[in-house]
Amino acid sequence: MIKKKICMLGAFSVGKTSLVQRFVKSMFSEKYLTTVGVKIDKKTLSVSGEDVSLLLWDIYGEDEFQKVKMSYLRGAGGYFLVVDMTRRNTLDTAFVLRERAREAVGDIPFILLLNKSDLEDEWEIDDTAIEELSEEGFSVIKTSAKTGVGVEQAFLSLSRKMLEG
Amino acid sequence: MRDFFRRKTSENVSDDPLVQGDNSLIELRRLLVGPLQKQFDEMQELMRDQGLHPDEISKILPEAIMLRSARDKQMVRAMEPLTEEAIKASIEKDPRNLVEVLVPVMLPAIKRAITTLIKEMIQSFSATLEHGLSMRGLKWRYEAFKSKKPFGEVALLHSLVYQVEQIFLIHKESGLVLQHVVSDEAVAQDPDMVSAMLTAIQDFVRDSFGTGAKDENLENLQFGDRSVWIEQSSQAVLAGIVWGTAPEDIRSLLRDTLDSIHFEQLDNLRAFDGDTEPFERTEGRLTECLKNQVRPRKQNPLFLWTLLTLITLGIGSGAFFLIRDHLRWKDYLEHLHEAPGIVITEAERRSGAYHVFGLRDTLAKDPVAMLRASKIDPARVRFNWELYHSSHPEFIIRRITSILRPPSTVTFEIRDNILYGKGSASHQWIEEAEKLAEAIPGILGLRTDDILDSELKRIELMSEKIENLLFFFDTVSTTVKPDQAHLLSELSSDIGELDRLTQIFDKTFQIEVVGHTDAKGSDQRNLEISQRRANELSDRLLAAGVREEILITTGVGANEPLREELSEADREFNRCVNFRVTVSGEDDRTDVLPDLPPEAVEADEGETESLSEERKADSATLGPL
Repeated sequence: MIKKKICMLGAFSVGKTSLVQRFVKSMFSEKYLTTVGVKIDKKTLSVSGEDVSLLLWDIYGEDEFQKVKMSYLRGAGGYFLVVDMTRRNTLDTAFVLRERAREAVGDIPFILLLNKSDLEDEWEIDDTAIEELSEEGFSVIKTSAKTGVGVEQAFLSLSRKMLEG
Repeated sequence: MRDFFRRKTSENVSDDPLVQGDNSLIELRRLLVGPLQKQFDEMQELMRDQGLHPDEISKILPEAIMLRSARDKQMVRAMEPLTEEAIKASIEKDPRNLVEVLVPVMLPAIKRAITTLIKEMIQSFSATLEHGLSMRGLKWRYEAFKSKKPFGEVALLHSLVYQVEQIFLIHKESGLVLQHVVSDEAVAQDPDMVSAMLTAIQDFVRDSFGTGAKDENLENLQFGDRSVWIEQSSQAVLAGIVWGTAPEDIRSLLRDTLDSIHFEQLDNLRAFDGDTEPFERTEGRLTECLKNQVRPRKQNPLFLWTLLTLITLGIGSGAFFLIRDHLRWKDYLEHLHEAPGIVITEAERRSGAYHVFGLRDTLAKDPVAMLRASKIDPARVRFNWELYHSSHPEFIIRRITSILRPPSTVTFEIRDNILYGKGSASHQWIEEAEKLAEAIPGILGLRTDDILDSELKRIELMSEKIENLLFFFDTVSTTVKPDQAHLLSELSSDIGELDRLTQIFDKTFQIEVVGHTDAKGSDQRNLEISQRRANELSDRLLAAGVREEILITTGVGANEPLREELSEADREFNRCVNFRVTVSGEDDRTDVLPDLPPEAVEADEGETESLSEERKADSATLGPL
């Protein structure tokens, strides 16, 4: 079986933990996030007929008080950059994290997840901005941890990217 | 050739007017062989260059080395002496160069080795202090002396209890599990998640408390009775989950295992992209690390008491049965000693079985039956008997009895070596017994004085019976009454029996048939009638088969009345015929005959008759005793 390490990166409270919570096997409690700064979850997918075991490193959210330790990204096969569509500034944080991740682990597959897509009325990131991101080469998927929309697709897409190398 | 072409070419560009006219020819030649000429010139140039240029070699050398190294070990063999020489030359020139290179590599390893050694020493020292003066310690000292190992090592070996429950082989960079083994007793969580979290914790600890040096690694995590022992190489991490207190050499084992895996799997570790299949072959090495040591369970006092009780009961029971068996055997031997016809010469117990040697009369009691009576298992006793004839009176009598086969009415007694018989027996048996007794050893003879001859007695009884029989007649009648006719056949049978008995003794007998009348009538008439009555009976008996010479008839009329005639019943009684039996040549024996009931006499007679034939046969087969 192929095993891959995936990191969840994003600003504080963008919904990283919620995104994985409903779709993964959990063993550790969320207190690890506040103690160690990371919580490990696992999800097994079948990608093109091949089982892939994804080890999800749910890393605490970056904010003005604490920075994400990029050492947690070491050995990752890919990562998600999670953005809260209702908070524009989380996209900026994502850009910063993207740069720091590139410095730490190089160009590895990643997908930008625009979370909380179900709260359409509160969106601060419009479709134009999304199109611009796509044009800049970002893989962008709208997700909702609440409804589950786009989550499975996100994992599948990143897995495919990682397997394609 | 090349010169030739060159020459020819130079000729092409000559300014000589003589050759200008051939320009068209030259042009034609250039068109036809020009390209070939150029290739030929290049080949010529290559052939002239015997060596390759350094810049060209530098382009292909790394690739050539890689290709060859991948193919076989020739390149390594070729490089080996060169490398050795180069290192030597470098050290001779300036040793510091090599030291500076090796120190960052060697120092952490040396530090780790020394640390492990010190920990082992401390563990060993602690064990020595803890157990040095205890009873157990003294035992271990003896073991150390025998095995030539340091006492501390032996004490440590016995006192530590641990179990290496799980081993994780982790890809250092990604934290992904490459291989995982778990002992049968341990309960394991998802190894992928545990491994990842362990890696995260290591990163966390390193980031939080480390100085930033690369060789700083988390080596141990302790939680309750369990600890995580971590060994790291540049590409992999080996983590062992250990329960209890393990000796420090387990860490050495982990280190050696990791080094081996690192060496064998270096290429796979470097190229790892999530596929763990190449690392399946490391399972055996990892499984070897699942060591354990279990301290022998402390004996439960209750168990000890139970054991002690059981042992006591066992010994008690054993002793009880042993003593019981001994007493039974002793009692049995006493009975055997007392038993007539058995002489014990030796009795012993050998190989768990009893052996008895001695002499035994065949008529003696069965020793095996005696064993059963004494509740001794016959299978445990071996008898070795020699046959003999006991002179015990009981055995002599039994032996005589088996020869003479007396009727049940005869008993024997030995006095002064003379056998005395007592009771009653047939005349024939008495005669045969007297003869046989002369040949029986152990006695001087048989005295039959007290043995009643039953046949003689029967003669007397039969005579009495006949004499007591009366046949009655009506007045003047000389015909037997019909209701007494059946007595005639019985009478004739009794007379025949008497005839047979008297013949046994060579005696003769006569029966006088006496006719009677009542007193009525004249005497002459009565005499006639009585005679006719006697004749009537005689005739009827002769007709029934009685020999004539036995019978005589007499008519006595009313001269010898059987009753005094006071009534008609008396007269009726006197009208009869009776019998008088006379046996001649009688033996004196009848004079000493005791009064025996007729039934006894008849029984004797029957037995005697039935045994007489057997006795004849037996006497023919019996030899002297």
